[in-house]
Amino acid sequence: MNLYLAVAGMPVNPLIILGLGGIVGMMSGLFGVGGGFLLTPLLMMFGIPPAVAAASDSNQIVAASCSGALAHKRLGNVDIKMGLIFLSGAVAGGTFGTQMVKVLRLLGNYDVTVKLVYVVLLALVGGFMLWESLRASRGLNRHPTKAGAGIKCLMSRLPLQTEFRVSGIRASIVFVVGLGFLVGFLAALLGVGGGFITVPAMIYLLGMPTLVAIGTDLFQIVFTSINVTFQQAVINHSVDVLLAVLLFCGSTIGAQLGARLCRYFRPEQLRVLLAVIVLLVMVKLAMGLVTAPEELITLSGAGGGH
Amino acid sequence: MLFPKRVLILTILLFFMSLTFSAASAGEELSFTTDRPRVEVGVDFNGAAVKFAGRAPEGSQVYVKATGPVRPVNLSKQGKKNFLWLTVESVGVEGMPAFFKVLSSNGFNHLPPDVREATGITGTYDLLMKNARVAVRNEEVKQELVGRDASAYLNALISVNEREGLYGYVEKGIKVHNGEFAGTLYLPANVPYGCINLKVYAVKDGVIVARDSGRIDIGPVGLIRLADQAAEKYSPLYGAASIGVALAAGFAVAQLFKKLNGLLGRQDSFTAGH
Repeated sequence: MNLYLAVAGMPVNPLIILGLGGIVGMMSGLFGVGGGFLLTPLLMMFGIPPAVAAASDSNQIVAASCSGALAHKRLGNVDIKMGLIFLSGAVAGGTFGTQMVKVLRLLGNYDVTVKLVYVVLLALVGGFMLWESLRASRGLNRHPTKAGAGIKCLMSRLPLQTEFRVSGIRASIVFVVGLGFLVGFLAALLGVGGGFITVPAMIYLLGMPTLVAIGTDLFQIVFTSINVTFQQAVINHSVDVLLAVLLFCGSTIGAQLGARLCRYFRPEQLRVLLAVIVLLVMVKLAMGLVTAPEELITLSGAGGGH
Repeated sequence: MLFPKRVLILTILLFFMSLTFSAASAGEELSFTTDRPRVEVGVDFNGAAVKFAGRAPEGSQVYVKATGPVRPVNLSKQGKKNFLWLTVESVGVEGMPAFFKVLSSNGFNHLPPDVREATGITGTYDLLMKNARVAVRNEEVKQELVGRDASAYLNALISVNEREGLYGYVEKGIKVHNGEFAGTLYLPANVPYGCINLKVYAVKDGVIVARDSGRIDIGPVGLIRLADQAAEKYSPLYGAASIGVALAAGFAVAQLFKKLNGLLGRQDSFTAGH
């Protein structure tokens, strides 16, 4: 039996959408990423218009990240203080980044630059994470933050030092806000959720434990995805609530299972898996840049079928 | 004498002949009905098959042209730039119908040029393309494309619409027998809301001998109508409700798992470590 989607303007098989939501929700709970990088293209493969896929995906991320963050909260993996301070910087960075996009578009070659920067950034983050976590799993470096000794030194000299009890670290509020700003700015510039950047930044630059970084990232994703969903609903009218409900019926359960699966992995194993996913996304993006598309002219920017 | 006798006789003859022919053409009538005037799009909508039937003058071929609402569409073109494949141009297309299908009881090649022009049934999409406008979407200027540049985009749009079942020419899609005809117009699941205009032509010996028209209204009902209208007209409320439902679902599932863990006697204790 198929179910018709009002905003997408097409019917879908609800079981397929539930399954997709479940897989992505599990990844979200396991790695602390929103999963939009995977779900939006998958929905488009099933014929959902790009704008509706992206907007409805952000709506399901609200549910999945809420479910995942609550599960991590019970497991003691959410540093609310860190999340809120980081979020304040990320929101400011995101707003600034959105304005910068307009300026950069006028300068030309924006899309080329953005895609290349994203590929290079993913390659650097994924490559470093893989190298570090493989070394850690062999017992060569016991602490992932050793690589950022200089940054730690800088962090200790900045004002407004405060204790982050859940993360077990002491850090400057200025540094956390600054890092949030940078991540939010990059996320807006690159048009991505930012999970790929946030989790590694929290682990390697702030020195947070892997699981707390994942839980705290999910906590702040709840707020960023609420903002995106609302903007998409008001400006583009492209949130399909029926599609989102189907997705998050699967993803909320997947997120709970993912959060519980975390305890069966050592932190460095989780980082290896996340690094592999980051590198796979990078390879997919790079391939998309250098290989000719099947069709040169395609429908774009349209909302739903109606 | 004002008129010669021969002219008078010829005039009277022509008068009676015209009466005879007009009586005959009054008999060349075309009647046309569909099995439903309205297609309702509900949660279980998966496309529709609208049956039509009618009477056509004896010996004529029947053509049905269905044209949907005109909607603007955006298209983008990929191109190679510095060894990378990127979007090199985005355009807006106006004036193309969102739905265009023609069914016939005969081939389209049999139609003479004047009938093609009068009906807009050409066997191709040339007339649609002629009425469409393609313009580059740029924040500063709106540059209209013509000739091959515009055709490339229009052909791509037509291909997409054909693939999705929104455009097409269906030869022998209408059965004619003893002056009665019948056929089915298939509407795909992504058919646009609005009115589909139906033009029916009976063509005999290369001449249009009768014509009729009809319409099918396509619109959402029930939950689909509610969601569609809310998303368009009450978007802030709709956005807030979408977020509320998502948060409630996330919270409910988290509580459910907490209860399940309680029932299974598991403890959610975990020590975070590096």
